[in-house]
Amino acid sequence: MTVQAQAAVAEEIPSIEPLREIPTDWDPSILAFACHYCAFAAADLAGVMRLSYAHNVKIIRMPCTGKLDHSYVLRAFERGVDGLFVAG
Amino acid sequence: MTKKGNNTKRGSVLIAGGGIGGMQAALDLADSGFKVHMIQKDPSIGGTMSMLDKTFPTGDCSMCMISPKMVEVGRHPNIVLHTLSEVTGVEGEPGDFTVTVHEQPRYVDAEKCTGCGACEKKCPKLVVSEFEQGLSKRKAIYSLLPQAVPNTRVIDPVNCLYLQRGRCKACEKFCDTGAINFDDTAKDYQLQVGAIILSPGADRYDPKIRPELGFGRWPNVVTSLQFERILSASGPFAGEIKRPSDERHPRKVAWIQCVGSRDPHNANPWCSSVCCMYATKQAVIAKEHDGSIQPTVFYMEMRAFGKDFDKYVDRAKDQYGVVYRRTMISDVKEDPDTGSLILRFAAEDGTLIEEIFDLVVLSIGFQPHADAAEFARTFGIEPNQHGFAQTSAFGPVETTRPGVYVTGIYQGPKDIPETVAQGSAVAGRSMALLGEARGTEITVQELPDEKDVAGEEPRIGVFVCHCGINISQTVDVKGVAEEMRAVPNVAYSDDLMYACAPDGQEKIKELINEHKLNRVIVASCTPRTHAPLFQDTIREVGLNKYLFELADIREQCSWCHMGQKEIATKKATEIVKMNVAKARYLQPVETDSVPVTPAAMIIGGGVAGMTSAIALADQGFDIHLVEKDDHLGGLAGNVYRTLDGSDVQAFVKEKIAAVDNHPKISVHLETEVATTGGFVGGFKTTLANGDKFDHGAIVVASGGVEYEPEEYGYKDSDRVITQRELEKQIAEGLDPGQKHYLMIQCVGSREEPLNYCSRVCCQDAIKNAIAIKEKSPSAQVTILYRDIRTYGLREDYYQKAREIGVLFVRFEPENKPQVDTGGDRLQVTAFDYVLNQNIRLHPDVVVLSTGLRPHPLTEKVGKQYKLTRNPDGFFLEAHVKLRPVDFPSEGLYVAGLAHAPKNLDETISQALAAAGRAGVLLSHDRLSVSGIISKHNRDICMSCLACFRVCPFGSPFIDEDGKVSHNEVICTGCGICAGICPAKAFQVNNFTDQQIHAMVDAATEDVFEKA
Amino acid sequence: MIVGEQKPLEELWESIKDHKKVLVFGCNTCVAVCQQGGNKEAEILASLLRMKATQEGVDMEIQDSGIERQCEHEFFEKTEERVEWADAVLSTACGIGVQFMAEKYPKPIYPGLNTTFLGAVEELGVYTERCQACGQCILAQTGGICPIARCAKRVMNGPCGGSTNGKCEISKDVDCAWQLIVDRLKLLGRMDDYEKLTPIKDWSSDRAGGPRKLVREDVQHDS
Repeated sequence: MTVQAQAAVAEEIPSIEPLREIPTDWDPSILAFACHYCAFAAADLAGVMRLSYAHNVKIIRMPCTGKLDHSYVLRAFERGVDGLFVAG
Repeated sequence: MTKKGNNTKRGSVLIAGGGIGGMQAALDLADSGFKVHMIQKDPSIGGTMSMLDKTFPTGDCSMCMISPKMVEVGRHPNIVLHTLSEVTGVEGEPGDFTVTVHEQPRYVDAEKCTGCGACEKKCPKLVVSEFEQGLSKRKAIYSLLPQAVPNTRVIDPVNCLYLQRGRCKACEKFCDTGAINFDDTAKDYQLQVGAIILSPGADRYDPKIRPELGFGRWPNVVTSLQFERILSASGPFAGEIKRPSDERHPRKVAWIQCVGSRDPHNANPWCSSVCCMYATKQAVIAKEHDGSIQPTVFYMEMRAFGKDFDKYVDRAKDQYGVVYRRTMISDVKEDPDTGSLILRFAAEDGTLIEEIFDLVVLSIGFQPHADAAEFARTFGIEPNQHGFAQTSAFGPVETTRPGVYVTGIYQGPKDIPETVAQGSAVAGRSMALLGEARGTEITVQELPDEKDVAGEEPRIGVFVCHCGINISQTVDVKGVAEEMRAVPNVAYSDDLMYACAPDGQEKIKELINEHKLNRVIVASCTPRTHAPLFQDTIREVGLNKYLFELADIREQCSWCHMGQKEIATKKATEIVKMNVAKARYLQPVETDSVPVTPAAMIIGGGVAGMTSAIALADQGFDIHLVEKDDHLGGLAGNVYRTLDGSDVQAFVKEKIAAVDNHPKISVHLETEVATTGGFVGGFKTTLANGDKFDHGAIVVASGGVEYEPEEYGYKDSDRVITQRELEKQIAEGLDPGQKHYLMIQCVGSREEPLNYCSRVCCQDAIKNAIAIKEKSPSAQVTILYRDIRTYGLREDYYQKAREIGVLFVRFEPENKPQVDTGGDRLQVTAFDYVLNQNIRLHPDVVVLSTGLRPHPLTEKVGKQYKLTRNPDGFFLEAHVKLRPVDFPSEGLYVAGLAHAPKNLDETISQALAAAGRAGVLLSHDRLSVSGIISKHNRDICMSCLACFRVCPFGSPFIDEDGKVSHNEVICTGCGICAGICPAKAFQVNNFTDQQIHAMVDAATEDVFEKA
Repeated sequence: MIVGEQKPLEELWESIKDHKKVLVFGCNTCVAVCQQGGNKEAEILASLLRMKATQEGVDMEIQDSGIERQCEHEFFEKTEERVEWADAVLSTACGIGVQFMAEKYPKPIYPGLNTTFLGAVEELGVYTERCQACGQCILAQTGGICPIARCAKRVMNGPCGGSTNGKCEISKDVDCAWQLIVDRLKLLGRMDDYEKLTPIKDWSSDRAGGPRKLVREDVQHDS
């Protein structure tokens, strides 16, 4: 088998977990990584316009989303966040 | 620069107009050691661009681009803003003007106002909002736009109940800082400046003048600027596309082009240059907002003449399904039952069609402000016949009064990047004029030495701001401050009414000293606007600027969770805790600086290169002009006249003489760059001929070449020539035997594989056509064209050509004219869309309007300096709107055809702009490196080259040892290198892994404990 | 450079799931350059496996560490303690590192990667095979292009009949090595060499002769 073919076998996508029931009182914790120049500015604008959104989002400012490191994402998930939002 | 006797020049410049062009000029000047007075009629700077939603062709958010610039202008120590002001008189001469300013009362004390907005909320008077183009209301005390700079409210005296009727004062009652001052009065004062820049922008055509289009009568007929506001997320409908009559979502939307433009009878004769593209952009963005919208653009001619514009229009057609109909709309009627609008127009085949649209957008054009004549008189300059500032083809930013320069639409309709380029150009002209006075009027602050905090245990101070009631009505600020006291390393925590007010700042400074704080957190508004202020504050008491963090609990907490005090307080606490966690690991950042060699190298000795060279040399910098040919002049050497008849040959000769005679310019002919080492401020270049020199900046003006046609029998017949060859014939005397000239446009342009408009060919054809008709009125001139793109004031000449009998016949690329060179006479067959049949013509000469290509050198120069090029081979600027002459790599600038096809006056503007931008850099003795940069640890680096390959700025490089090193001078701190590095050899100051991990941990404290 | 490719997470999980203390151990040279097995990748992998363990409800500890090269004894000294702590190690080194480590420690050392080939970094994220370490370099004769590594059939006198328009019959995306060789010899003006028949290759220097060993007495050091 060629290397490409081996790689193709290796890349077979594992089956996706079935969707679970969402408890009605579920309050997910969401962390956002936002670029200082655009997405962070957009979050500011949302405030300036008094747009209301869910409270359970906290933003970590990045100099650019290019700065995002695997470890930030994995650490957040390991520590129990339910969703990550990377915007830039 | 020639010095005139003992005449002392002033180191300051007055800029009349605070739009994007004025702001660019102000920043360039202030950054290079000049004091700037910016005069703005409105209560905020920003101008037209601040009203736009997105910009073409990239679809970038306009506000996101302009707002950082506005903030920068607002807090620049060397820019003084005079809002609500106008100039009433100008005396003096270049280098020393006395300007009289009339300033309207603001009724709000900017020193005391914190921008909290409590007053606005309580004001009972509603007024139609000018900024929102009448689509929504504002208060009598208001700010022009949410991102206003200065962020001080203003009272509109005409609508204020107290000022008009003597009762109310609600604003005064609710202002905690006592900023309202009803006794404020108008002021007249004088300013002494060395140069004056006019950037007043322009007004827009009032479509009510054409009642048949129904504006002001049918509510669902809106102007294009109103539609920008409708599209805008901060506009009246929060970015949802609704029509005014019933706020329903429109399905079918029509744009009617050229409203108020290209119409000498009912409106303005000129083309407004931007409407074709903004209509396309609006159609695309509308479709992006709401996929069910069906946009149709009714137009006369598609003037997509700018860089990558044709591709954008193609994308609008092919990917977004925007329908373009080449037909004029004579009137708009409303269906009274639905509020929708009935448009009647002629189809291609002549049949009349009626189509109903839910919303109609009128693409209104630019016109000078109503007071333009008065404005010109005040400044003592001549207007042109249309009321714009009079300039010339070779002096596009010089008014008729020396020392007074012009930028932007007041010089003629134009798009944002050209306005920005002219902003830098006028800054460069002012620098050249005032060279020796640089640095004489600016203020430099004395600061105490920085305290050494290395090795100290973090002692963090937390200041939680009430921001009047902006934060405190939603967040329990005292509670947050209280809770922080229990957090490890927090040595002090308390609340403050207004952290940013002068008293708040003093208090922070006192408490830093009293509690020996070595890290400071202010929990208030956004770091984007306020961090620099607080950084300066802590620096004033000897703390390094980077020992500060701003926790955003206003924009990102209190303002978006109003009425949810408990939730908002909890979130604010978490946000502050995250910042405390980060602050524990904050380290002082030493900002390095490198020396700047006050010299520039210019690649290319055409008009762009020579113009940049002279402009920079006039500022006092040494210039090395490198030209591969044995003479200067470039492509313009083959051009005889401009569209307005100016003598190009004489101009080029004059420029060459000026370059040759300039003591500061060294010309290096018949050679190219062999190698350039070093970096911004300190480049070292060796030329192929062995010449070596040091320089701080590089201007790339490598030019273009004319396309050599293969098509239309050019290679087969002497009677098929190019416009350039015809131009030569005109200059040397036309053959009287030639009675019929037929010109074919878009030869080698606007088609795959080079699908772009060469921008100059329409004007070239019309220029030559007029010259032929003037020399030999009986000669027949026919121009076969796709779209005539005589944008801006060039439209006058299209008009003139038609008036003197030049014939225009349109063709489509699918059905191109056929040229037969076989017989005794030339025969051209073309399909005439008016007659709807083929026509056969027998011209004596066929003239091909050939396009422009980048110079072959462009590719080489691109590789040499790691500069990216677009698919057509032209250089890509750092930002198509706001950094039109900068490259992403610092210290490199672009001008002329190397950037994109353009006309001579535009090349000159751009070359002056490149000189202006380079001048800003070269005016510094040393260049300070930003603190937020990536730090490279060479010890753990394994030189895998991942960073080297991904860095957009080329800051990691392979050093003399053959290993990867990092050039911090050109690093922007984006951290892409840190993200990709498998060895973790990069850390970005103030965004280290340790700091971000600490924030992640603090942010997840709750959920982690639960788990 | 040795190029490797991380094994699927499921496979890795299967190998470690019965242990209580697992150390994911990176090798910071070749496989770090191809961004598959360096210390950073070890950190990422450890994190992913910890999450997997949580999802599966398995109580185990997973840590990460790494050294400069897992194919040299001395580098291991600094991390002895970490390795001692673990019941099992998941090494993200190439096959050499995994074996070398296994020889040192009497505990399971699992491979985290499939070691794929000896290759070059064409660009970030693109690695291509160039050498098969046959032990008898013939690049001098073939214009610097190796028919053993780059011809699917390892033909010594090519091309074979499967070469079409410069591509190999196995895939339109694979260059025919012999076409490349011919082009290169033409460029060098050495087409005469192409006419010379290459004799049957002596494969004894390849691993057909068993595992290989190289001893350089001149640099050996008595210790």
